[in-house]
Amino acid sequence: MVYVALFAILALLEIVSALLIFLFKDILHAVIALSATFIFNSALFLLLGQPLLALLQLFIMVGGVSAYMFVGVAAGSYSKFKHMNFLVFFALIAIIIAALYFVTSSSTVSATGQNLLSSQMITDTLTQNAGLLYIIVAMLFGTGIGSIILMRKLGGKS
Amino acid sequence: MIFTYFMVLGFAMFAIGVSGIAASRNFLIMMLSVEVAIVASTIMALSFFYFVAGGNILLFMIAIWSIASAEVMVMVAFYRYMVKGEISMDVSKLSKLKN
Repeated sequence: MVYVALFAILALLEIVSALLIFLFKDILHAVIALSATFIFNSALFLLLGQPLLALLQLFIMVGGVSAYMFVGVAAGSYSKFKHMNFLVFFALIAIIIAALYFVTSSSTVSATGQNLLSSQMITDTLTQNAGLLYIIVAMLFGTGIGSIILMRKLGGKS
Repeated sequence: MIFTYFMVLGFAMFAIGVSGIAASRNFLIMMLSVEVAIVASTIMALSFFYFVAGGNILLFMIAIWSIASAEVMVMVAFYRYMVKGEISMDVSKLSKLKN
């Protein structure tokens, strides 16, 4: 019962913070709302008994992605532009939820409550897929450098 | 029952993200909506692996996180370019692909 109540509180907070991204006028506040979404998401991971994934989610998404967004987007200049049709927005939300629930409601699954990541599994993953992890790092590095080069090539008034 | 709750939460977050992309015309809000959809994908992946499939989710999550990070890098680069070039954030006005 406590589990469900905790889930309900965290889910409500996550959905509210995700909606606040669209309701805030200032982009700085929108990025803060997105960071709050990441934090509540990691709290949900903790609720599922996955502390490593929750920590990684915090480190990568809040510590890396949100901080980068703060520096790159919010700290530079504030975007006041806001144009959105909220009627279409909420209608689309309702339609997509209904469609997804209709598709998956027939599946019958039972909770197993397993521990997903044992220490042996983490070690195996990191050692057996080390090459893949380096490829991911190279891809991210290439994306970062490429985006800077693209920005410089495109130029623009300064 | 709990699995259903988690999946419905994932659906809701995904719907918020996709609707944000579809209904907004602000470039930045669209990119933040992609992040929300990625958050939804992490919730759905974890709940699926936890309640149904079992097994190793770590690589799957690393892939999701790397996609999210790459998307943010590109978003920030384009945003800085648009601010520098005084280009409107309204994506409906970005009809030209060249020059």
